[in-house]
Amino acid sequence: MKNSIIKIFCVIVLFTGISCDEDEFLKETPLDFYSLDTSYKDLSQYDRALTALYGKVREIHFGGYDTKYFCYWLATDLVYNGRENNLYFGDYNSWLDPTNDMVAYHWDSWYKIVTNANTIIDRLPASDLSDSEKLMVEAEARFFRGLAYRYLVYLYGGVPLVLEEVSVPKSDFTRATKEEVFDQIEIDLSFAANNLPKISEVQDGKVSNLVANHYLAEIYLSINEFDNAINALNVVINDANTGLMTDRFGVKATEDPQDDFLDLGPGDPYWDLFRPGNQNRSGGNNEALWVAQLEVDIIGGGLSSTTSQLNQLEIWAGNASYGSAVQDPDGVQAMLGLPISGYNAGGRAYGLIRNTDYYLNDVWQSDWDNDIRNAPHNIVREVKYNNPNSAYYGLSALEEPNRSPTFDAVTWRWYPWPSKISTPGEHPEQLYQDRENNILLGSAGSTYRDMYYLRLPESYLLRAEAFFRKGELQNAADDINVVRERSNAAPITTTDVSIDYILDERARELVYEEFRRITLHRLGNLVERVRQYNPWNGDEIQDHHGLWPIPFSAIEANTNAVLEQNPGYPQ
Amino acid sequence: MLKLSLKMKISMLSMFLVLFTMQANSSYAQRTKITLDLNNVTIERLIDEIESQTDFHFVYQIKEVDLSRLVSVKANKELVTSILERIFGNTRTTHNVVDKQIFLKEREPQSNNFSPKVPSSPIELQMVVSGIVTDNDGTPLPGANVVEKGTTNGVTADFDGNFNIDLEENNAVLVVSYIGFATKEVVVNEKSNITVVLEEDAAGLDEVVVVGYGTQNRIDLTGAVASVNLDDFREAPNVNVFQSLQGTIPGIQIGQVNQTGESPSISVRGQTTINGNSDVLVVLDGIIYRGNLSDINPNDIQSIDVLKDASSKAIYGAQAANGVLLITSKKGKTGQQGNRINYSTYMSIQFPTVNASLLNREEWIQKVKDSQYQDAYLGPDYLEENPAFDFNMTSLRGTNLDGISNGSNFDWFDEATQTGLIQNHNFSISGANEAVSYFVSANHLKQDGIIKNDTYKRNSVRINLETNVASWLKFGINSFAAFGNRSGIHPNLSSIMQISPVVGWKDSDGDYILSPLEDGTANPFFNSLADNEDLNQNISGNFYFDADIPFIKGLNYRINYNNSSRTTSNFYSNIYDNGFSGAAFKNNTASKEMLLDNILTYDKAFDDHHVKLTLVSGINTREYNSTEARGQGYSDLSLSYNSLQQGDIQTINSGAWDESYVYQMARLNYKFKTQYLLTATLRRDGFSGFAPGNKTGLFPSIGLGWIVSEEPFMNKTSNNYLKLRASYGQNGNLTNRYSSLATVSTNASSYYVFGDGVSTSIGHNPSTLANENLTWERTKELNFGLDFNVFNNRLDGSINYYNTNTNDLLWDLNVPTLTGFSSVKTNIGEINNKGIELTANYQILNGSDFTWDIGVNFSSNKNKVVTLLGQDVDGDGVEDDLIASGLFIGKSIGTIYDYEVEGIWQIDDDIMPGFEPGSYKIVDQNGDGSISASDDRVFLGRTEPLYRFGIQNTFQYKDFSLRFFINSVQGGENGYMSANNPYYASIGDIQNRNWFNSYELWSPQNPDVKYEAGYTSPAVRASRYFSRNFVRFQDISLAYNVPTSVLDQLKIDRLKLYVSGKNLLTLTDWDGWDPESAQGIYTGDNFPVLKSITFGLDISF
Repeated sequence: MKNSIIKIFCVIVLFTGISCDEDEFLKETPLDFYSLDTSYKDLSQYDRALTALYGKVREIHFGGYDTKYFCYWLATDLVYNGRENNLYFGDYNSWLDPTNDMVAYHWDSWYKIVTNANTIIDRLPASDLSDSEKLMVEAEARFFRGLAYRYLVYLYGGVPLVLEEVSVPKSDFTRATKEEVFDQIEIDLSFAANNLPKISEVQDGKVSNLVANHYLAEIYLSINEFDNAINALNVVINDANTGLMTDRFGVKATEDPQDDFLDLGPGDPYWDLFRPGNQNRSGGNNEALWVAQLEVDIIGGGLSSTTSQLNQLEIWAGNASYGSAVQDPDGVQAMLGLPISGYNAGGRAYGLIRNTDYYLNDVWQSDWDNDIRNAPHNIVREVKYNNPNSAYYGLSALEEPNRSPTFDAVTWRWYPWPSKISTPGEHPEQLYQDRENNILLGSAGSTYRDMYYLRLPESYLLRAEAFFRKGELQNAADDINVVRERSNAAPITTTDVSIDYILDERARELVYEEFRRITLHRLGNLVERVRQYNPWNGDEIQDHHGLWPIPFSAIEANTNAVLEQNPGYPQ
Repeated sequence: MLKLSLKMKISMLSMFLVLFTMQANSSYAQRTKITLDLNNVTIERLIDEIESQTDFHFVYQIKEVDLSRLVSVKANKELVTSILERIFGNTRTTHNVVDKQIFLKEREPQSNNFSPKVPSSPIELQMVVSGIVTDNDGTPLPGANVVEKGTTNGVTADFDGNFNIDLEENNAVLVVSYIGFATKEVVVNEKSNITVVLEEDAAGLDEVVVVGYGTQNRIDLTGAVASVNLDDFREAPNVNVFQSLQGTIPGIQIGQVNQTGESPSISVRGQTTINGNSDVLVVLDGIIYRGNLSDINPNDIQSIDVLKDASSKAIYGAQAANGVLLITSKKGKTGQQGNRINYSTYMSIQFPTVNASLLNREEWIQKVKDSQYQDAYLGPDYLEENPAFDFNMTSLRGTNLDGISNGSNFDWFDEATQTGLIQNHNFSISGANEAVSYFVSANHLKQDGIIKNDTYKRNSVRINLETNVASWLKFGINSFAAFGNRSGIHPNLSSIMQISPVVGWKDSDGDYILSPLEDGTANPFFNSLADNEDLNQNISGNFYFDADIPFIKGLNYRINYNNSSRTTSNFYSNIYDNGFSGAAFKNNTASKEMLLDNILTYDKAFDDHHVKLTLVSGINTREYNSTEARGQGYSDLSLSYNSLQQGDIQTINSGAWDESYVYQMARLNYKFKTQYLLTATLRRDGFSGFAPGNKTGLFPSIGLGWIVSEEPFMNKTSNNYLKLRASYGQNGNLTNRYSSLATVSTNASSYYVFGDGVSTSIGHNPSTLANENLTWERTKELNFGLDFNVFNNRLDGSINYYNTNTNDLLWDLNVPTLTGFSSVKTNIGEINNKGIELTANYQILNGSDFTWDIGVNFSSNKNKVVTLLGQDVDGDGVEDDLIASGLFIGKSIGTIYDYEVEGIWQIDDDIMPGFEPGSYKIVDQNGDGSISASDDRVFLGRTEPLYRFGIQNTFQYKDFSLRFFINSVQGGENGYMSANNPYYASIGDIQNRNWFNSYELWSPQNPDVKYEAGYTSPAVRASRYFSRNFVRFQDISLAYNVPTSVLDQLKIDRLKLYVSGKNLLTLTDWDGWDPESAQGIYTGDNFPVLKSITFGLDISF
């Protein structure tokens, strides 16, 4: 007995005492994530890396229900805080503070695009890709790097140039000059313009050589190289695959806008541009240059029928007339209090931001009745009582003597709105709680269609700007008239052409598309125009607000060098 | 053997009965006759036979009786005494019959005072006192000394703790003592039967302390090791055993728990890390335990020892920097014969410590007006109501407007809460003999929190078994299985707290209202309507083999092999989820751990030298995997979560990780003479989570002890004890697995869909920066200690002073986002902790009927950042602070560097641009007319407290004991501060939502209040910081031990009834839920801290 136990004991000692290969035992292998070293080898991996750039750029522009996101439109000459309070960029002094989250968010996000692009560019030479594949991938990555610096330089001025993958911690960044940043963007976008595929060859949502050329032209304008700008835009405008949509097209090509309460005009090509399904080239749209892809209830689609996701423009920019608090002159509830998909009740909206009078009235004066962009279905200027219990049912809630007292007491309950922020009557099926009466779920509130980053009219208007600054006024007027003609607006003459007029035309054509803040930062007249046209921010905006402050968090973390703050901001 | 033990147990019970009425039954031996016919049986069998036929009970020590001797007995109705005379008459065993007890003793000269003096004849028994010595649980204490005070007359208790002493005086005082227990004096007072319950002496010098990979006598310790006195808190409704440690051990901080089944946070001494792991290392029965602390049944725990200083912790090297808690589960006690059956139960009712309620209708309406005072009141001072004001002018939603006009008033919080209830049942059976010892327990606990549907149920079983295969070899298993059940989802508490009182939860038909505010936000009660199953299983087996190597005296080899398996399954479906379209998921996780230790010890004394060498070699692996399937959008959820594939949108996720450890350790304990001690340890650790080349580290330590009271120059006749200790050691701290690698992540924001009606493209991008130099965080600690026990054991305690430096701090260094990353895991800097810990127990009164003990503990820790990056970029000759991370050279980690608030901007003030009335007025430190982060932040204080103390009072009067415990944390000047901010939201949310009425916000009518209005949006949002100082009457309990005179008739060993209260009173200036949990007035997903009243009983057979 005792001997056998000792034998067993010896075996156990031997078994447990054997030294294992310690290095092998302690080797660490990731199980559910990728390591950097193995993730940038083949083409499918580079496709994934590029896809992430599209995803993040879309998030920066169309992010969720948060005060950070609509700032490219908000607090400009076109859009201001609808509630007239300090929230939603309601006060330049408190929002453009170096410690403000919005200021840091855009800095951090665009630099994440830059560094992700750097990783792609730096790792390409050692990858398994063929030379032509390398060129294509590099062109797309350089496009995004150029795009990111475009936003950074216009928002913050001369920013640090980071052009290589950072693999060890670094905290000695210094600011480059604006010119150095422009030069770098020119290099990147030229490369992209020369090497990206043609627009007819790219998938919907992907960038082409035309997109690169447009942004390249914009940079040329900023460094006063007008011929280069015109040449780049010629590539865009003269491309056989592009052209303004002058005829009815797409999913509603044979239909007119409908509403149970409002009298709307006949359909038009401008209205067709904003019907769900009509934004991509595959939908028959030849003037779309670059489109942000949004799909409902598909992973990566950015929109959801049940929770708040991207592009909540309807909630933000639509008025809140559907609220049950709206009264008729008798003090009876006048509106149904339900979010209804339509032109009368404007979807599920909160009225947080709204257009300025400059956009709603001033810019239309010359062509109020003939410009289709001001048609009653493209800018909704009427609302009617829709509660059958009200004695005023079906009457205008705006006109005297039946005007709703609520609309006077609470201005954000109703204001005129461009219908492109919503999809009246065309919300995705899964968003209705009552399809028959067009009643939406409480989770509605996005603009449920693809969104334009860039549409051909903007290229015409940018070329007009180039011609104007070069002194070729007739060419400038001609370009503007191409855009006006499609909308049945009267043509202009050379005497009408000015930067201000181009901005007016941009407002008419591109409201809630063009990232107005970037345009005004680029032109350097944001402060002036906010003072002139923005009734809420005009009083408080200060001269230094034409550039955003460098985020305090960036300055603070950069411990080995000093990032100079922009003038006018606390250091 | 088992059968024998059972019978002995029962006979022991009857013996009490007999002894109590001794005179009447003293002739039992002279009239009991039995018949036996046994051939060649062992003495053991004979004893068994006699006990089975009679009420006699044999008392002996195994080594003194040759139980295996074979005898043959034939008897026909013969007196037991004469049979015994035949069997033992001429052997080395004597026998003596005392009533129904038969004592068997070795026949030898009676030179020892401490041996039973057995009367030669029962008739002379008037001066004899019998009794039993037990511990608090009623377990007999064999070998306890019982001495008649002032004489040399004494006996030792037998194996069952029984004693008989022939007194020299009628009214003698008995002094009863036992190793590890406080000595007790008992007045005989003409009683003939005495039960002596000895209290475990926490500071008992002979106490055995678990020190990791072995045990040591407390007297031989050179480091700071604290033992928890669990008995003091057995009467509190502590679902988690660590709640018993709250405030009781200096240097150990246990956090508050406020949700059912929650585990408290635990930290030892000061904060030694910034971003590294700060969890204390828990070792259960020698095995590192990483499971849920709530899975451990408190009733199964025998002891908890805490390793506090670096030299004690060094044996766990790389994982020990945050302290080590060594938990030992109960075993069958050696010396205990027969089964001991215990049943204990308690019921506890619970209430919030703070009686908060939400703003009611009137208060809420006033709040709406206050938030829009510009319209609701008339300027310029806005004190007079504006008759033209109409609620339509506010941002109130229609349902709220309706609610205002129709008079609704609904108390959401009241609807969501209930009286909390804990019910606990615990059953255990244990026993031991020379071949096997066992402890088996079963526990059922059910806790209903004060928030409806916040429930926790635990069923656990434990089997601890050890068997001696041979005199030198044993095998054993410590195993347990715990089954936790957190099924059920409580209402969304933050929604409950934030919804207005003028809307209700159900319509007139009794149906739930989908969205009471009609804003798309679901009814807060919908969460609780989910079908949810949330289970966890924790099964652990620790198998060991322990051999005293034959032929080499003092050499022992032990293998510990542990395998634990933990699984969780969380299943959910709710038709109201996902915008009322329904959502469901199944989530399963499984983790496995394996640990194998080889432990070789050699323990030998020669002359004045005593050496104990311990060598350990081991490995430890962990694996984890998870799978989740989720569906959204269900037209029919009647199959709940069991048919996820019906969802419109289906997502799956899975994850996995593993990690491994390898280690070797050598420890030398050396004692010279009786007073000089040395402990030296060296541990080598390897962990997979560090960068290649940095995966292993060495952690040395040394400890010295000098028992001054043992020196010849000290007066040795006194009982005083004094020891000085000094130790130094290094410990490590681990980083998270994979943290040295550069990783690439894919997440939803990097997914895209190119085109319409096509499938998803997955994107990826770099997510963390690699650090090829990432290595251990190292803590070096110096500890000085003094242990004392003076005034005849009436005052004992210890004092520790420590000084700890931690360098190579594992730290998420903020890097500019220009790099594409916001931080990188790195090793930088050094922090220092200094502290003092004091614990003392004093026996104020020590009467025979009344005792009063007081225990005090005190600790103070000072924390300081010594160095960070070592850079001086601004060139001022002083190292730069890391302001972005809130770290400042020479200040504590918890330094609060923020804006100073000097009040609230009032309507008439000349208000700084960017601010508005009702927002905090921030001190413009540099007077430039604006507030900036770089110029206007100042040092306001720190989050760390200055000191903590606890006071335990224990009174005993006859069979009653009363305990109360006071716990306090104090910040000193500007210490122990936290931000306490109101609910901030847009004016629309402020108007439509709600909060607690326990504090007042600014309004023109209420200008002089502490808190700013939540709807303001100043350019710079300042936090206000307040002291969290508190004094808490944390525990009070009253217990009644039913006297043995009653119990004996019921054949019960012990019966304790008690009532206790927890957290009954808290004194503090902090507003809101609780200072200790740092939950203030913010109306978020905060659970209140609970107070409770508990009724319980504990019975042993």
